[in-house]
Amino acid sequence: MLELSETAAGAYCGRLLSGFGADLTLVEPPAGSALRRQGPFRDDTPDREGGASHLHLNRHKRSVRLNLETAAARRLLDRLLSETDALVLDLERRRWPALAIDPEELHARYPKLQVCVITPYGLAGPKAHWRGSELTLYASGGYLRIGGEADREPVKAWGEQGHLQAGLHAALGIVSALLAGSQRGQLIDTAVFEALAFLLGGGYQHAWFSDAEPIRNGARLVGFGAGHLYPSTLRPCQDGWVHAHCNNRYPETMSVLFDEPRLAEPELLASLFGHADTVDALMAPTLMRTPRRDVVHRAQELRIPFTEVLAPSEVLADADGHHAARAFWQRTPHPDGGEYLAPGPAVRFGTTPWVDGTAPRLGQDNERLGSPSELVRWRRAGVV
Amino acid sequence: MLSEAHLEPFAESPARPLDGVRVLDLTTAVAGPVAALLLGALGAEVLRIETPWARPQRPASALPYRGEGPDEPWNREARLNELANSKRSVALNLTHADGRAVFLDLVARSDIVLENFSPRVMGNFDLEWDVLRAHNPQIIYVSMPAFGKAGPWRDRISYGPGIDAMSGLSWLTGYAGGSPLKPGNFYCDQNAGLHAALAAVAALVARRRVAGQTVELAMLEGELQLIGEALVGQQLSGREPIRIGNEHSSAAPHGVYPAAPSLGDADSWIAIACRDDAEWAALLSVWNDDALESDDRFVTGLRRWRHRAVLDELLSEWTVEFDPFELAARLQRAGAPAAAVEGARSLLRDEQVHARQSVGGLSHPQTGLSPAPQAAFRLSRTPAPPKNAAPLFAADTAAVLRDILGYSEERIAALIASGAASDRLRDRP
Repeated sequence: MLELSETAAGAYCGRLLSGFGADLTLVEPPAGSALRRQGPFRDDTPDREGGASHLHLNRHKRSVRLNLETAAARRLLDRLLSETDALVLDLERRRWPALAIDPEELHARYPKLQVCVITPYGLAGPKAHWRGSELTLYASGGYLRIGGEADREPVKAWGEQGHLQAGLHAALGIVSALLAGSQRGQLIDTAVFEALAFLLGGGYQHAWFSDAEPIRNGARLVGFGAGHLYPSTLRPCQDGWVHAHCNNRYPETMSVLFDEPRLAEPELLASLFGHADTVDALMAPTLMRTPRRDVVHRAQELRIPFTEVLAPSEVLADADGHHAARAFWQRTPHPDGGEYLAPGPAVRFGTTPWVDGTAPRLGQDNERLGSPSELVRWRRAGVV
Repeated sequence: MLSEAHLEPFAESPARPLDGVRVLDLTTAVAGPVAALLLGALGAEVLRIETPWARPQRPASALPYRGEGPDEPWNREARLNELANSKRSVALNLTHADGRAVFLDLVARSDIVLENFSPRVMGNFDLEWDVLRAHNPQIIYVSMPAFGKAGPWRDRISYGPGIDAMSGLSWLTGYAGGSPLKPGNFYCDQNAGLHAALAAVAALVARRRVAGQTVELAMLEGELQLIGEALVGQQLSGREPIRIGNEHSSAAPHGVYPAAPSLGDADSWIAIACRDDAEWAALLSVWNDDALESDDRFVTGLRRWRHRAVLDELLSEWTVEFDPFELAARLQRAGAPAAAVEGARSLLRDEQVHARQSVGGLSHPQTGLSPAPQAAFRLSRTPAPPKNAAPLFAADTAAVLRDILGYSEERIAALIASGAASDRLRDRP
């Protein structure tokens, strides 16, 4: 596979396929992929080999460094493409002409190549040329609207979830196309805003039948009527937060967990969501005098699915040893020495295991492009 | 009001990538059904294996009753119907010896078994991997446990939103200086569903070279991929990441601003993100306020970011005068990333959604034409939009036993009479 990417969408698409064992080469511009400039960095010192996003999303990839603004580099890209099964491309559309990139033309020229293009709004339609950032695409996909407090502006989830979801969709498109026929290439047109719009699953039928939008609901679920079950919310406790959730089949067991008979009253149980404030108030005294771990431990004993709200450092600390028992964290060498823990497999296959690996140094695989003398010539000409 | 003019029915696809693949879908809740509906749209024949008493008689969020038809709210539940599209429905009692035997007959004629039970449940049915493989060495067995099939949390229970909490994503999500929030209604579920569908198709590709295999997608491990930057970054910087809401770590303005009521809704907002000087200049060309252009506080990206609170205030005073859809279009024409804050209702009216058929119509026997979103990729040769509305409960039981397994009418009638299979919703025994 080849990856021409500058966002988390193309990078995660490539990472999933490299995790599945694909031999994937990242084609980077002279300054390196934009992902390399994203921190955090060690000691807060920017370093194109050591940014967190690069170290996470570019594992088990090769890197070649090509100046595609030169015709000679584009000929090298052509040579690579002729030996490639699938290409993922997420460079901003406005830059395609300068790099002589045209997905339709690539699809026509390489009939066996799967050409997957990720753009903010897709290749066609009235917004095809709109610019998109993570935040504006969250707005366009409808997923922003349901996040946050009802009396404030909507708020998106942390990070680049929209682009990561688009990467997942793109990977599903590529693998499906390979299954449909590895000798017959397809053009795979992936839109980031649509990956976000897909997340509203369930919301379209409500909107269709009611012609109304749901209102944001803080930490509570959105779009349900008074008769829906509750809690499903984040609540403070003695030393942090828990995710509080009743057992959907036996919601009355909450009364045992909180030693609070009012949580089993028939009137309350008949309309739990409609009594959400009451439920919160009845849980509060116990929660505020009990540590997170103890609340969750007791709830799970009663088969009530409470969980702890963990900060990233707590996820890494893995107090119960769950991730360690599953050998999830991968001790990975940092390019500047030492090591760090990288997330392990997204998926565990029984006989074709997920591949972890390390992120490549910029241009580390240039030597695969040609002979040593050719490389010297190309380097002098600013091609590689 | 929304009308059928807003909902074009999905076209039939000439060829789908998973044509000829059969999936036995034992999943419940959200994550598993999302994986199964993706496989269904991709062309697999997905048999949703439901317990004969699986659906509540009076679901809390049944759709408003429309048109003629029996009063069967379990067939008109909005969320369930949206998540059950592109499948067939077969009711089997797996705790009944004959029901289990029927299931194993289906395993012998299928490609994928998909389940998202707690890890002990398949064992309780005596349907673990060695049993499935004995009936079909080519079977791909996809499990989607919350925490994994091994490890100290193996037997803990959680729905998707509880996993959002355990992954760190809820902790990271929220307004700057505010409390943690969920990253969406069922974000972890949707994410796990996509990862599981992807892994299932990858296993089908791998099956050209190896036999069937197990595929385990722990919902927690699928979500940890999405915050790798925070997990790795925390180790590099030694600092815990902080909640920053809609802000950018170095660019401004970058936020969500109030807009004039639109589509009859006062909850009206526009997102604007200026990541560099060019996009700021594009915003100014529409904003058209001379004082801002020369304002010392806003002349460089770093200064705009430092003064982002006052900049957001000024921008809000301006945006609130405009319809968000019209203002977004003007800003985009000028070259500034901007978008109205859409919702399911406005998306059903959106021209880009219509152009790509991001959401299309499926015809359901009891709710009529109803919407469903399609995945975010378009395959040029083998299109894969949703292919049928949610099946009525147990609608396909008899046909599947007859056509796929070759059972006689007498045998099918006996299985239904004994409660091993069902062609209708029953009371819990």
